[in-house]
Amino acid sequence: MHDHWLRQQLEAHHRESFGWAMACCGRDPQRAEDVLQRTYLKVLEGKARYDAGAKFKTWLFAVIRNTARDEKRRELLRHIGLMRYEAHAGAIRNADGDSAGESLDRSHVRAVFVEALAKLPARQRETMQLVFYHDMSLSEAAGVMGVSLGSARTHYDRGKQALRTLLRSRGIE
Amino acid sequence: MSDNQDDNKIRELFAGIKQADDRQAPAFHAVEEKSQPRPFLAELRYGRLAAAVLIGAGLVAVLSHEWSAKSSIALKPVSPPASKIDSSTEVVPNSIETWQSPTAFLLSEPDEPDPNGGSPASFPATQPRPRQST
Repeated sequence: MHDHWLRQQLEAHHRESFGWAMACCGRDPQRAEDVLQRTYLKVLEGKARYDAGAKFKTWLFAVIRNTARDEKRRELLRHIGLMRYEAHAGAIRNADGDSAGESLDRSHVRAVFVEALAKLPARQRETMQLVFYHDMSLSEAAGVMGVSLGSARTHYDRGKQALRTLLRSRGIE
Repeated sequence: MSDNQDDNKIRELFAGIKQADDRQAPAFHAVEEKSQPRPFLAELRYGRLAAAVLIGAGLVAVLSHEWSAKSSIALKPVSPPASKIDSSTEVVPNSIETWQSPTAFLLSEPDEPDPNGGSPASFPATQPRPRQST
């Protein structure tokens, strides 16, 4: 695969990739950047090879997910994903760095949503992220997660149901 | 709330997260620059491989040398130390053409010369003893 073409593809999907890396890293931007960096290195060094069997984005997301999992395994004793989620949600709530135009209300809703997402099992959270954030089909989401379509559908249905319940319990309708 | 409304609400909430992520996203070139394959490290990796092969080959050479030395000691016939060999009794091997059996004289007739160079065999003639009647 031509190096230049790979770079073009990586650049075209960079923002989405960062968003997915954030989801895979408990919404920690520093870790997400590290994971993205390692992923790009894998791709450019040819350790991860794209064989055109799937969409580039689907393949790239699977590489990001695997890289994030490897990283998480290494840092298992340092952090627990849920704690990171909650800590980050708290940080969002108290953030000074939010854009001046953003209302406190919006910021609060987002923090509550992040908290609610953190309560979901990993597979359900990933499915929700891939479908609603990255506009992937269930089939593509299944490809990224390495599960069957039926399994992805189950995670999607259960995730949506759980999220609805969690949001209602926090007053978000 | 209907399923569609649910989907829209969730999509909207995710859009909020997406906006926040976009603000935090590092520039592509910054990440890509750090992700450049490092030729030095690649060379180092190949260097390590070459060093491992050399060490392995050296180890095999040393071990095989030791093994052959041990086996040559085991196969060597044990001979007494040179100081213990009595030179007077040392047997000088004859050529196969001139070798004679040491018992060849037993086959010779009394009149024939001893093949070993001695005097003709002079065994005392044996006379049959008369049978004694009782």
